[in-house]
Amino acid sequence: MKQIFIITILFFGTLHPMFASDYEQVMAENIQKMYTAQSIDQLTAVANQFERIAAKESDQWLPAYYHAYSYVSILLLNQSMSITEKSPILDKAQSVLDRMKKSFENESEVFALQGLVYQMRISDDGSAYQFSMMADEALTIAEKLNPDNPRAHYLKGCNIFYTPEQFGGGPTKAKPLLEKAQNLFASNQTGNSLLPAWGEEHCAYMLEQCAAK
Amino acid sequence: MKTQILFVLIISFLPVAGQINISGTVQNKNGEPLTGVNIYIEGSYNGASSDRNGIFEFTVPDKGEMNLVASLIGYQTWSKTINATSDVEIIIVLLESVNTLDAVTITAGTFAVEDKKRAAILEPLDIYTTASANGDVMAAMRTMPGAQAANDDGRLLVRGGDAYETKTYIDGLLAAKPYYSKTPDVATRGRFAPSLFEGVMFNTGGYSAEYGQALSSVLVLNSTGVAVENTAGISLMTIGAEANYTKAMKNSSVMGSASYMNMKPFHKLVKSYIDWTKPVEAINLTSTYRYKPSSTGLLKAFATYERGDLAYQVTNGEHEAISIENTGNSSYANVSYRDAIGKKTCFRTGISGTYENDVIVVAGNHIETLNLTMEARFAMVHELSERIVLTYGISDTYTDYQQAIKTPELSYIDFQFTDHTPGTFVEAEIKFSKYVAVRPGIRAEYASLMKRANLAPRLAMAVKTSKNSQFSAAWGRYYQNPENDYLKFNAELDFENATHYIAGWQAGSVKNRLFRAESYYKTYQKLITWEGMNEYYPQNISNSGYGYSTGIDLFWRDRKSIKNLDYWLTYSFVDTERKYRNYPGATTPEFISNHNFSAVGKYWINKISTQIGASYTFASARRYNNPNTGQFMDRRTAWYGDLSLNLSHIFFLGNRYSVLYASVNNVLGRDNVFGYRPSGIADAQGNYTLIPIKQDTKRFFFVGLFLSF
Repeated sequence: MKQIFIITILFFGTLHPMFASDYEQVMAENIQKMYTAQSIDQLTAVANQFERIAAKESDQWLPAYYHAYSYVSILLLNQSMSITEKSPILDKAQSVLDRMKKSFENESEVFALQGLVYQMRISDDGSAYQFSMMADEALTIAEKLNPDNPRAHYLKGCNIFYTPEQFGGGPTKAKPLLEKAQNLFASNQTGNSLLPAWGEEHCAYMLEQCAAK
Repeated sequence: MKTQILFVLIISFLPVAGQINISGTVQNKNGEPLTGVNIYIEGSYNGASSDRNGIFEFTVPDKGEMNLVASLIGYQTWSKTINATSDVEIIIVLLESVNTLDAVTITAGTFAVEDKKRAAILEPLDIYTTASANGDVMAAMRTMPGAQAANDDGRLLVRGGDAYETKTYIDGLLAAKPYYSKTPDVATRGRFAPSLFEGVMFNTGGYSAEYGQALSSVLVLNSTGVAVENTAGISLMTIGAEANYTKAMKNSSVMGSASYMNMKPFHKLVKSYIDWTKPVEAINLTSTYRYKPSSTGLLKAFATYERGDLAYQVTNGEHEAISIENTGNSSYANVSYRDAIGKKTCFRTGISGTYENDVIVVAGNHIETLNLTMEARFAMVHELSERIVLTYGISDTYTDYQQAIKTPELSYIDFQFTDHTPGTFVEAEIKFSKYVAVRPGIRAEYASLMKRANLAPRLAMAVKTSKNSQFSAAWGRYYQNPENDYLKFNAELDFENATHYIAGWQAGSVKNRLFRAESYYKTYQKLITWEGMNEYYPQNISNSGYGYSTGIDLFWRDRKSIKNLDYWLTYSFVDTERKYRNYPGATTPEFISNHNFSAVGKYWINKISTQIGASYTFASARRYNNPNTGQFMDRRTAWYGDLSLNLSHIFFLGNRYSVLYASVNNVLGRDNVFGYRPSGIADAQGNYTLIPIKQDTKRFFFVGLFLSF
């Protein structure tokens, strides 16, 4: 009987995900979809799904967070995009973040994501310094709200890694932050699968880059 | 077991009782399909995204009344209540949003946008790195179109207007004395350090009904928000030193700074045209406090005090000299608060006060002025719909002016008056579409001393001509109380007033390349005039002056074409005449150069972490009066030219950057003469000697070390 129960849930789960009223389950499914999506269309659909959940569950920060992060994922999937192609997508993520920074002003992850979105705007058009500063400011807030947020340290490390040495950047200065982030990634296993979990792999890659230089 | 599974399978494929299928297409006004639109039932997870052909389909579990919503960024959100009893098929048309980032904004007369994301035309860092500016906000603004470029006055002279016609606001509140005390023949500079601000908005005309009491221009400085990190800074300069500390707390921050300036060592090294008996010495104390009580509220408080002394001698004929001494104490404080009430309404309010105690001694005349100016403001902003934003508010400006003059013959003259100038305004910003916006407004004021009222209508508009270009225009009436120096003699006066007509076009983006051209025509009415001096009293002060000013301002900024080079070019042409003060007729005033040109460039050299900057300023000949000719203001000076160079080397102490800065003004050593002043006493033949008004020193050198920790 137990088996039937599981199978039923499976079928209802996959065939009629829209019927699911269970917040956690829908979230878990869509987070999974987001991490495994292979096309912009799939990610747009996931972003829209998160937007719908966010509209209903307005007291939860995670749906809006993943709504914004889905747009970030589009850029991560298409690394070759030019800044003009990136801009409108980042604008979308920014508009979600702007609302979140007001409603969930004490959530460290929101500011960490804000830092990433600013970093993604860094390009060659002379505004690099400005966005790097803005990213740093957001990440400092993220760190202040939760000193154990690995993403705050990891993204700060990336910021410093790509900042020219004469501006106080470079791999040597980035390394301690990335190491700290790596330790926090390892120790911060919350067990709550809905919470943000990205960054660990890339953090390890960045540390390799530090060692290579 | 197997049958049971089969049973479950069948169940799950059967249509669920009451299930409704909702499908359709989403398109724009032109019938083109829209991709990625989020279509859903409000308050549920049920929904779908439109595909490449704008097609969507999803099911809902129950029949009944529901609200169907379609949203896509850049478009107005669509919604419709449907009573679904059977499957629904629908065509949804989305309209473009008028509030997208690339939508039209009203720019007539306005220079710079304070929003970080849109990027300001001038940022605080630009002010520090402009070679001719020496860290002075006002001097940096002189490289902007519409301003007189030459620097003998130190204050902003905009589009043919006199210095008093420009008002400065900090966080929306009046800063009545944005400059150090101005003494004859010596330039002054702005009081407020650029580092206090995150955005500067220079309005050269046609500005909003929110601002009154300025005939020509308003300069709006927006201070920085809550600091997020503790910082300390020490500056060592050839002319003084400064120290500051910022403490950041969870939702608040506090900053304190102290500075000391002394020009004496500089004048020991560099020969001065002015005979200084006491070079400028000044101290300044500044403190700011920021508090964010909620996600929408922000409290800002700012207080500054300074005291400065100076004394010098100017020639007044062949063997005569006049001594001028000045001691100024000046305090400024403002507190502002803004917050939202619900989603569509916000308010801003605040109070500011300027108190100055200025003592100037000219040729034995001891003039002490005590001037208190306070301003309180309250404004509400309502977003009536996506297309209409309504702003209205009230303000009151209070002036308490006292002056005591003690003459060398020891006779005393006292002046005193107080005035309340309350004002109210209402303004609507209406966007007809993403491409067309208009902003009608009206302002009313009453001045209690003169017992006069005014009503000032304003209108501004903007039309996008392509994705990155737009046309703007503005018209408005502007009123201003006569200066305190006239009101103290005569309260039976009226407002001076001006009418502005502005039309301009701009293309490009500040981040890359921006071109902007603006032309204007202004008329002046009821300017203050007077005739002759009787002892210390000007005679027949009245509002019988008038004038006009017309011109064109061009601006080009390019940060893109050459890597690491950022430069801007400004050209302003102005043609103006006015009858005011004691002018016998309408004349071009002595502070006007018809042609003004500035070029400012900054080049970053990565290898040595150094930015080099250069600026060149040209201003054409100015008029001056030679009393020996019998014709008023018929003479002209030579043109003005200045080449300034600077260098900023950036290095790191810990993880904060520090700057070593050096600059030289007037590198070429041009002997600029701003005008001539006739000596006070005629010689034996009845002729007056003309005394040239020049820069204090031919060249100005500055070296500073700005450390941060």
